[in-house]
Amino acid sequence: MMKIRRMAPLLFAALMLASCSPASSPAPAPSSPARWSAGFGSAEIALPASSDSPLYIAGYHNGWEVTEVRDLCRASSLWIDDGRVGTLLLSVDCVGLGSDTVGRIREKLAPLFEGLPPCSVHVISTHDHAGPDTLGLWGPVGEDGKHPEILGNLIDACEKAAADALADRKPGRLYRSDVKTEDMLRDSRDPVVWDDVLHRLRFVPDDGSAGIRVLSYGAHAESLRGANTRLSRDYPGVLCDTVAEKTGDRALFLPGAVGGLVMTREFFSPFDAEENLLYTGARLAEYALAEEEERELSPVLENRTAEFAVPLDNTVFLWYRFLGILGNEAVRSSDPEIAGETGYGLMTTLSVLSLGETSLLLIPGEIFPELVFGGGRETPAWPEVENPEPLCSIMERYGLGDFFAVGLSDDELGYIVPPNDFLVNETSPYLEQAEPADGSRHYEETNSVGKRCAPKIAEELEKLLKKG
Amino acid sequence: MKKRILSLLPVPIAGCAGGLLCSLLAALTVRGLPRILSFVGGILAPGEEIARTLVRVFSPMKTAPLRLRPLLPILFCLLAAGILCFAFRPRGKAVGGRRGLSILFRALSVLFAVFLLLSGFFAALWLTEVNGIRFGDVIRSLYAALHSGALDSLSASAVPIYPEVL
Repeated sequence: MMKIRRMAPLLFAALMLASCSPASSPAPAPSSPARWSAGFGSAEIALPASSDSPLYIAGYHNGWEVTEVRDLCRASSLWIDDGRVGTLLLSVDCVGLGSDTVGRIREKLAPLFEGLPPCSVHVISTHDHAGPDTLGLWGPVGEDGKHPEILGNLIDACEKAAADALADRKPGRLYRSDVKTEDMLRDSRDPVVWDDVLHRLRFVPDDGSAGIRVLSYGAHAESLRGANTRLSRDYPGVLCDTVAEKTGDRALFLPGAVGGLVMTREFFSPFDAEENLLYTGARLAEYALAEEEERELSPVLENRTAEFAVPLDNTVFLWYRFLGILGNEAVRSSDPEIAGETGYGLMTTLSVLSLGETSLLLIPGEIFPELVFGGGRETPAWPEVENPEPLCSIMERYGLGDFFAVGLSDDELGYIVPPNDFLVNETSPYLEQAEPADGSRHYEETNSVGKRCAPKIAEELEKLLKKG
Repeated sequence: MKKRILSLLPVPIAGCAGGLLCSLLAALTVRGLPRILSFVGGILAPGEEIARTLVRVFSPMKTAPLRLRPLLPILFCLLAAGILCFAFRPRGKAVGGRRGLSILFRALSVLFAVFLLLSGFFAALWLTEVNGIRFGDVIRSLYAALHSGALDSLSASAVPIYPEVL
């Protein structure tokens, strides 16, 4: 009897262990095969109700106000998931959104994702040069050009678009294709390097209902050009509307590597802004709808994001941050890896979003195509300086050669300029552009963070992909 | 011993209070920058557009997020409080020349303490962060730009060119 009493606790423990062993666990439910699910939503960005403050038009001139509305800017959203993880891509018709505004959008959207698979949210600006000032840089010099209501209205539109996309979710298949465009582009700065491919993603729901298309092109959205004061989505709007009209599919636009300065051509002489816009949009729509071989993408989604500081050399950006016009988080440091000539770095992010066999490289600014694909000026400003490894080469090394670059993603740092051609005005750095004797153009430096932005982005991409 | 410690107590109290006061004054200065610029502009460049522009440009200071850095001002004020405490400590009555030296010493101590308090205030202002950027860093970069003539180009582009509004 004594022996049994001593053994009882041991027996009890043994029984408990046995009940926890894998052999006695209930058999797992058979896992369902992974499927793509996607949904689309879109909402107009309401005009400010109050006319007490001016609504400045972004892109070209300080202090120019919107005089007329051609078509309202929109926030369009694609939700996509593979059953395990998801992502929400928000495409916003505006010149750019700082990381602080992106943070506000994510915060507003957070309650929508309860009960859904873990997900990422990426907010991408179309770089519309006929939209409202959403960065604050196009008011009178030194003054915040953002209308007090505009960002609130924009965030509300993003929330509605996201909610509609989530409600619209359906299972289906995802396809990728590329189509080369001809005679569409103009590059105003040497070297002439551009991505003339229209990158396409097409989601086809299983139930045969309206699909979703993602169209990405590496050209500034400024077919209306600089004299325009009408509010408009510019060519991305015409492109997406034409695709929707002809196919019934909903479409959203993502800008590519637009720096350096790549834009669509002027097709009419004498120039007619409206005709140019309609023609540009129509021609791109033809390419968007052209028959090209598509490949189906496996339902595997992966998002990788790196957060880091970019050294800030641009004193004007420093002053604008001080005045609260620019909203990026600034970090003060004596570490040259973090801080630039101002003593500060700006926090930003870089992401790689893989959808099956293809990837989107989400870059936080207007990157020069030569930094993505290689190439450069034959006689750069600093021949002894080496440019960073092209991003396509880094992607290829990590088996992600099937990708396309998306600019103005989750931030707008301005132009990302090759360091070997980065030249600032000696007397008025970042206030005036340099005018060297060879006549080369260096406007983009005045709207860039600094010389080390490009190498930093390449370095962070390498680190991100190395982490796996 | 206890009496000695009690006699020194005003130093840290006054030091901390002084340092915090310097920081508060620095914050009020930042907040009041548009008014200060308006006042100074009215004297130096009455009726000029540049003065009005500066007031408009710095108007966000009224509500911008501030971060104060009181440590260095507190150190300055501790030193000032210590000097004053030492200079005005109770002593036996001085006579003749020693009385004169004592008055001189106290006067110099007061002047030096005032200098330290002002230094504390300017240190607080220099270190105050507005939107995450140190006030002093902006002053330094603006000075460099002014000195090099970089800001001359701004006066040409400050006036916006409006198209005809329909």
